[in-house]
Amino acid sequence: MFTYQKRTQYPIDIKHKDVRMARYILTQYGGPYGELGAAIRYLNHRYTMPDERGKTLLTDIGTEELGHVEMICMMVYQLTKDATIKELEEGGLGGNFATHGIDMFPVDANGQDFSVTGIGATGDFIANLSEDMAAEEKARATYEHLIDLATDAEVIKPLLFLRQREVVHFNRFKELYEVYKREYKSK
Amino acid sequence: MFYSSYGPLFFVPTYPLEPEMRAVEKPKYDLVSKDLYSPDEALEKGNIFKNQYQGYRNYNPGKLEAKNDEQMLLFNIDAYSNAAHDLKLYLDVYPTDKRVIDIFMDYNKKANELIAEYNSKYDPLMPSAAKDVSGTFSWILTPSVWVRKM
Repeated sequence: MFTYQKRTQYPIDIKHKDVRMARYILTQYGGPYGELGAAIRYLNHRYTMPDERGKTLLTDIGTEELGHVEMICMMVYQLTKDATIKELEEGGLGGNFATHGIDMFPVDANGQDFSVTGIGATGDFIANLSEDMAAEEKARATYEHLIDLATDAEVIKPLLFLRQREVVHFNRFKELYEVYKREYKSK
Repeated sequence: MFYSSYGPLFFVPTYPLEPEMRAVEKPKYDLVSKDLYSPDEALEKGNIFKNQYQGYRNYNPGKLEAKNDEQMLLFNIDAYSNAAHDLKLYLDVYPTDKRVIDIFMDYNKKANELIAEYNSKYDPLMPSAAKDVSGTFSWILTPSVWVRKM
């Protein structure tokens, strides 16, 4: 089961409206290397891990990613709060407004809907863990692009935190991958 | 013996039977508390392991400045629960690292105490701490994370 607390893993408090940046950050919600895809990926891969270490690690990291989905949506919400339709259009979210109004919806920075096409599930825990490691590196690279695009310290700080979490997760997956490679030689 | 010439009688399922956890490996890193950032610093950096922290360009995450007592308490909760969470991920892979289990239990205890303190002083962080406040269910008095204004 999951429980919920009304707080985030890292504090976010963005006071300055920036529709342009909100549109870029949306890609970590519904984009191919985003947090939603990460959560789905790990929470699916956990079922075929060979023992409790893998099942538990993927559950714990997948759960953290669900929290990151909320943090990303929260950043988009705060960056677009009280924006006029004209400001949304100028920031590149006019098309998004036409379809979804001011609702949150998982799309990438170009408005492409979220897709599970890029999520692998092979039934082979070594292949799945390799994919999980790659997913972390791709998300890290995306966060670096977002940090390059950002101008506000209140936006950059949570992005730096989220980027670093990708580094941590990659290390855990890599350790588990190496342990499993040694212990389950037949695979 | 007679039947063995028939070969396997049953279809072998593709899902592997789950073997018991094999020899649990020794941790790769010989962690002691000095190799870890303090909970405050681990929250600011996003990583509790000193030797695994990878900064980006010349960005410095910097200190978290609390504006009031409530935010200070919340930052402390974030710091201790984040530190315990990061150690938990490590322990998932290396569950027999006793020193890290001890640090995990210490941080987790501290986080739980701080959460209990927050729930007693302010609107509840979780529904299990909700109560009747002048006839209203207090869980809905806590602002949702995205609308929180400190």
